[in-house]
Amino acid sequence: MRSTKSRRSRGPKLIAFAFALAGAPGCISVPEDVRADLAAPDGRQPNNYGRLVENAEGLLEVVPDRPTIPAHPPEGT
Amino acid sequence: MSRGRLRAPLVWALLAGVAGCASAGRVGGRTHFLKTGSAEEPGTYLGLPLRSGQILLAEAGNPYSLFFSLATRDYYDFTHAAVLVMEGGEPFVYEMTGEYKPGFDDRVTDGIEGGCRRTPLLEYARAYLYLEVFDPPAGVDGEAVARWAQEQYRRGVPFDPYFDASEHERLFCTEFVALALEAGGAPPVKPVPLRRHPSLQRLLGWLGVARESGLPAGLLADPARSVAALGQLPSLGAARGYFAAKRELHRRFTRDQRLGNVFALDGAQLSLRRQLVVFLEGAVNLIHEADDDPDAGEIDRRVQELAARLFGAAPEHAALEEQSPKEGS
Repeated sequence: MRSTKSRRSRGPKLIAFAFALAGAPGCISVPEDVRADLAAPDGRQPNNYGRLVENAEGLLEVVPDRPTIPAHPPEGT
Repeated sequence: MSRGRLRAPLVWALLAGVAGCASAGRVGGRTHFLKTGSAEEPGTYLGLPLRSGQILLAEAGNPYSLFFSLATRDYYDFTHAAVLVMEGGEPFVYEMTGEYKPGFDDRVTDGIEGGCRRTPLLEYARAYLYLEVFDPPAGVDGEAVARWAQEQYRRGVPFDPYFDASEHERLFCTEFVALALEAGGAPPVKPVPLRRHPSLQRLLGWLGVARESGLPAGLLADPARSVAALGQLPSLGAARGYFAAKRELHRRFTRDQRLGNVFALDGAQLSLRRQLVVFLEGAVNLIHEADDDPDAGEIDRRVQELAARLFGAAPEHAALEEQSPKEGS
């Protein structure tokens, strides 16, 4: 399945999404279980949101990564 | 006819630092007037049919707003709400907002301070991707709604960073609007259930935020009462594509998903994973550029198709598991 390509050079602009509530770390310590929940997809656990991989041309590409739901909801929902 | 493609810096650079009930950054570019007055609703301010006591629902488009969209069991558009008040012919927005002040707190929410803020509408609009103006429900006294909002501003009611709708000493954005409507004669707005989703509940628990139910801004929306729309997105199609994308992200957040599939943690900061940014941008462009004015069902179909192409479509077993009454946290 093909996917949209994203040039590596656009990366820094695309990740300018600071979480406003956490504008500065201060003394906040994120609990281990929350930190584990927020770990990057590892290719082993279910993931309905794809992963970014670098293709042969050096471009970042979004690819499926163990999705668990259908493309369309079942009839009648 | 092509309407021109939205590039990432143009659209997404608007989003940094803007949050639903958290203090909005002033990051705007050009504000587009997407829906203005009509013969039935003539314009009162720059072509917009504005009156005191109308409700503003807004979409910031940042990780914070996406997080709260994922939290409710059912999907709702919009992540922020406010009250519009006309003062001397000029529209002002009254809203509850909070801002994080770094300190010696154990968790982010403990360091959020804020209250009721009053902002000129056009300045307010520059901080949001999209906002829509709704008349209050029939029979509700708009002037009474406006007076109540002004009174909270005068008395300096504090912001509630824990989103607890059961007490009103501190208020969050949608609670503020719901109570303003009540002051105008509307019935109370009933909270809706949040997901009993393990990963999401763990984060809500750490933040100390209400975990059972919430008041999503979209609960206050009624398309029949929509009178105006404006914001940084350049077309209603772009806004519909954006909301369809959020709906699809909500649909995909099944019980087996981790928050890390959607967000990244950098130090103590949360950001949206880049693959989701690619998807959101693609969905906005897809509908913004459509020449055939697709209806809501067709928009959903096209956006789901885009998601399937990017994220994959596979075995059918977990889609509706989330809403099972038997599930636990």
